[in-house]
Amino acid sequence: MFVISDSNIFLIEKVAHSKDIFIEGNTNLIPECDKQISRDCKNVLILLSDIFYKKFNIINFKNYNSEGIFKNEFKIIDELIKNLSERGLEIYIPLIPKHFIYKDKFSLYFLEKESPNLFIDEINNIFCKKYAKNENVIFLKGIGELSPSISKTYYRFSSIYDKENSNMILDQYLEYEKSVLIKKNKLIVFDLDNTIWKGILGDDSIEGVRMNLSDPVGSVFNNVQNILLRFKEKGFLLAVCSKNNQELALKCLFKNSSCLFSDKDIISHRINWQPKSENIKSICKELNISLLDTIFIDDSDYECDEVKENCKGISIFKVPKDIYKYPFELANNKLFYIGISSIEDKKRTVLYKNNQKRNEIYKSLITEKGNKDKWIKSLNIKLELHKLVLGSKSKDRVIQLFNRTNQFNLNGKKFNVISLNEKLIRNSKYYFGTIIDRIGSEGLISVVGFRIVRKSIFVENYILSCRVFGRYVEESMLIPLFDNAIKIKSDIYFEFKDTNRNNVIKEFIRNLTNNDFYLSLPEIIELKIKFSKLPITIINSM
Amino acid sequence: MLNKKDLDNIIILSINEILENPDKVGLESFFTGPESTIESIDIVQIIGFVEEKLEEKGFEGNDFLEKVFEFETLKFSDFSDLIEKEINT
Repeated sequence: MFVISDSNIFLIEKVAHSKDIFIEGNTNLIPECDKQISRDCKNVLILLSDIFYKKFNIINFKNYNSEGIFKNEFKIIDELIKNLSERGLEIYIPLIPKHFIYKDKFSLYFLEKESPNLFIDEINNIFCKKYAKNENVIFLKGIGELSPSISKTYYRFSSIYDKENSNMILDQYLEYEKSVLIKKNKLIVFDLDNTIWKGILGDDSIEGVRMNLSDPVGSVFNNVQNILLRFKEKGFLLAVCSKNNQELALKCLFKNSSCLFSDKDIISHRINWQPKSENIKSICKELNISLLDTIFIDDSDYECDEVKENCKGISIFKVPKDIYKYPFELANNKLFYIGISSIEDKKRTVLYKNNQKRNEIYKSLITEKGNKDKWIKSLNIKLELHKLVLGSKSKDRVIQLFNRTNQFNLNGKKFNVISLNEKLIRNSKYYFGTIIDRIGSEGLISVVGFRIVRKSIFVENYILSCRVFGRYVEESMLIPLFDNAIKIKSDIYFEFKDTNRNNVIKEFIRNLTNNDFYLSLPEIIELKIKFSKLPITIINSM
Repeated sequence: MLNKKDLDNIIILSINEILENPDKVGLESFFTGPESTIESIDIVQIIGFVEEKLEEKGFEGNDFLEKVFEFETLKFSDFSDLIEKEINT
């Protein structure tokens, strides 16, 4: 890591050393300071304090309400972030802390007018707005408000980075790095009674259950519903599993003005008297989502225990006994951490709903003629193939797909911006596929990465969204690979690694290669002819 | 009231808290000056730590940073003497 700062950072390096973070160098925030950063460096920490904002033009402060007026003040930092981004570096920026020391004219101006904190909030807002879409920039919470105990350090060294504050910032950096690697869940299955409303529907009736803002307990559950809907917006799928009367429960859920859910929000439901574990397994099977990526929310110890026992690997969130803690614990539990949301995340429920329509068509066709090909043909699937290059706009989604895909992932490899850039700069070739059919668009659903060594092709990555598995997309995605092999007369090795979670791809490649994860040239030619006849239209944009 | 032994203990505590290799440093090691092996960052931190401990014991408002650098060289034991002199004046 390289540190760029507007003030002395006399302790950062030492604190970093104690946390096994290697600081390769540091410099002051000056024009072209990025030139001091070596080629091997992967991430940069930019530390800004009062030194940065005290250089701002005081006349402009009177009308601070847009980023336009701060154009000149942000010039150096804009240039720096542009240069660092072009180099593919990860840029960590802790938010500027609120300072208790305002000792010059500029500060006095703000003390007279209003809280100086408003100005710092405004600068942080501008930062966030300016760089929110920059995939290389990661904002850290930062120090927040400076403690008065820093004043001795501040006056002696003109620096706010004492041991405590250096620790705080580097811990946030480490926490972010860790969060990128943690398992991200996909599906939330929740109970109804005493979970999204207070009361038991069968006993209390629709009028009797509480989820209305007009009463304190109802407000808690109204807030819980809001949090669940926010999780949906971030990319989680929501499903209901409840022991209840289905007709009554659906009426309360979707046709009750106090309840915030609509049928578009809930991807699937099982409302019956069967064991909940069986219902959850059935929901996961329907959505093609692993139990390992699923969270179950319920208020009953018994139900939580039954599900935990019979749905191996599922995560459980039990409603706290003190319901006033429920919204906070739900909103802050790490199980629900999903990272930055992409456009695909926001429409994930729609994508799965579309899938359900496809399956309905499939079922009707199977009943009629038992013909999978006819179903696929009726969907009119178009698979568009694109080469993945450094400047691809789809890189974010590719990284996200790698980090979310477990069942159809050749070796469990996860990527971030830097590691993916490295792959693309070196000799590896990557391409991705997007699909659209008559029901709707599925977006980017698969990536293949390979390298050619002498006369052999090594497939180093192959992922596919399980949403589309079984629609011949997994076969069709391999056609460009086969074309390459035929062109240079090579064989193909699949670099498979068992992760205990990638059985789907394991079986697929084993069937394809007769168990040895290897294809000879004659086998490749045979498969190419076979896959080219599949009822999918391939648009090759590579 | 703090006696010399209490002050020595505070200084030893600061050495153990701040320095990465405290085992090689004792009261008779050089704290400042050309023969000192202590990094300037650590000198400053040690002074800050000692001031903090003194404050906890009711001796507030001491500023040893300037006083320490009035001397060309100081051993840790000299620093302890300096503190004793200051707080008992």
